[in-house]
Formats: sequence, structure tokens, C-alpha cells
Amino acid sequence: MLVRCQAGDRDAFVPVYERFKGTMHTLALHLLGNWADADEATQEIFLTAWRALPSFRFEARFGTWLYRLAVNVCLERLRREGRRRVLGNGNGAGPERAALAARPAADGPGPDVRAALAALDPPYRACVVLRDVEGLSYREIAAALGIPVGTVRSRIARGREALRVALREWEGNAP
Amino acid sequence: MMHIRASRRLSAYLDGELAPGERLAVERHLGCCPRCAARLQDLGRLRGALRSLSRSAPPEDGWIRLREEMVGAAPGRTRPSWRPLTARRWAPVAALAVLLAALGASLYLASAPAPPRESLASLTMTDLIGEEPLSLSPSIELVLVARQNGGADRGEEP
Repeated sequence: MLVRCQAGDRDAFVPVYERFKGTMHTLALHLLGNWADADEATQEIFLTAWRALPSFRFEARFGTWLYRLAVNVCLERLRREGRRRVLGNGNGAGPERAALAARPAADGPGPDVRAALAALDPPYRACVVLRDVEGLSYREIAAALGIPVGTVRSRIARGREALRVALREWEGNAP
Repeated sequence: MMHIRASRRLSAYLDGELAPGERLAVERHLGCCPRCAARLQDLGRLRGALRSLSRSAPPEDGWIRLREEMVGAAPGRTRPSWRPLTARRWAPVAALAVLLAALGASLYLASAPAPPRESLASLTMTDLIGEEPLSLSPSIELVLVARQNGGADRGEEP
């Protein structure tokens, strides 16, 4: 199937899109923090993957290759839009929280968790999302991001700690 | 294990990503440190909340839009950082050049000293056609002089 895609067979790309569209959109949504950007990023991820397919050498799992590409697309978008947040300093937490709370109610936890996640510095956010939302192992995250396993471990620990502290503070300030 | 070392490993412990020796050391510490035990509980709740974040999907027409874009993007065809300017790409450049030229001309005209304003009626034929007027027949000259005088007279009327 991937070989047919590499040869330019667009129909062969349909199962690839169907298999990964939810994963890529969820990843983009939690990295970028809003639906419109996630929609655009998902489109960009698959288009970039289609263009870059000839460079895929079957040495890694296709999913890992796609995750890497997806994270790069999302981080590049964040860089372009200047949405960087400093880890744990709380900058932007207030407005983020308000903006996310104003969104239509979604299943699962309240807006605080999503807002705290959106306030994390992107490299830490990427590791936490790949681990806790996507369920990747540390080794898979390391391969997807092209960083050592030790860095993944450290980023997940610091990212979670920042989330834990932020949620504690918000709970303390809740009326 | 020291408290600080153990607390830094709680996240990886939760994920089952510690080596057996480290895991044992953290477990021993947790048995005697209520702060780390409480923090581990917090991290567990946080992980549960993150895991239950809603899954999402692209819009229904996502594939159709993607397929349209794929038509012009064959695999391996990456966008070059520099592309030669084709005729189509010259169009906006040319339009911009024309716009800038028009803007420059209007600015030049606006900044040039304005000529003295004279009414047409006050101009003589010499003003209009130079020192050596065309040879006009006497009757035409007479009509012109009469028109000048008439225009001036009308200009003085209250």
C-alpha cells in the first residue's frame, strides 16, 4: 500500500488517511489548542506526508514517521503564530482558561486540564500529549521527536509537574 | 533513596518506565514518605484526566479537500525554496510597479509649485499662442478681442 502511495497512487492513500486521521487530528488539537488550527494542521500533515513519502525507507514504523512529521508541522505552526508559553510560569493561563472554557463542552475532563495543557511550553506539551493522550511509550516518543529517551522522561516529568501545580492553583482560586 | 531523587522519578514510576532497581528504590521511599505518596496520587489523577481528553476527527470533507490538494502535489515533489518567475508570477510584480509609478507621479505633481492661476478671460492671444501668432485674418482677430472684452465685462458684473 505504501509502495503504491510512493508511486503516486492517490487511492492507495485513502486507508492511510482513514487509519490515522483521528490520531493526527487529536494530536493537533491538543498541541495547538483549537479546532480550526487542528483542521488545517491535519490537512497539512497528510499533504506533507504524501509529498515526503518517497523519503520513507521502511526502517522505522510508519506511525512513528508520521508522528514525527505531525509534531514538526504543529510546532512550526506554533512558532509561526508566536504562541510560545514559558513552562510553569503561568503566563497566559488566565486567558487560555477563559478561551477554552468558552468552547462547547466536550466529553471528559473540564476545561482546566485542556487550558493547563495549552499553557505548557510546546516541547513539554508534545511529550505529555504523545504519552498521556496518544499512549506512546517513552521509546516511541523519543523516536517520534528525535530526542533521547532520558529527555523524554525529563520532559514528561516536568510537564506533568507543571500541570499538577497549575491545576492545584486553579482549584485553590476557584470560588 | 533521597526524597528529591525519588520525587523526580515518580512520573516515570507511574508509567512503568523505570529500571527494576530504580523502581524498588522508589517503592521503598513511597512507603515512608507521605508527601511523595500524595504527589503520586495527584499524578495518577492527572494522567487519568489527560487520558480521558476527547478524541477528535477532521471535518467530513477532509479527504475530498486533501485529495484536491494532492492532485498538484505528486510524491517527492517538494516545494523548492526558489522558483523562477514565470509569466503568471510576473503579473503581480508588474501591477505593483505600475502602482508605484502612479503613486510617485502623483506625489511629484502634488509637491511641484503650482502655476499662477489666471482666468482664461485674462489671457491674450499672445499668451495662448506665443509671441508670433499665427497669421489670422483681421476679422477673426476682431472677434477674439471682442470676446475677451465681453468676458472681462461679464466678470466685473456684481
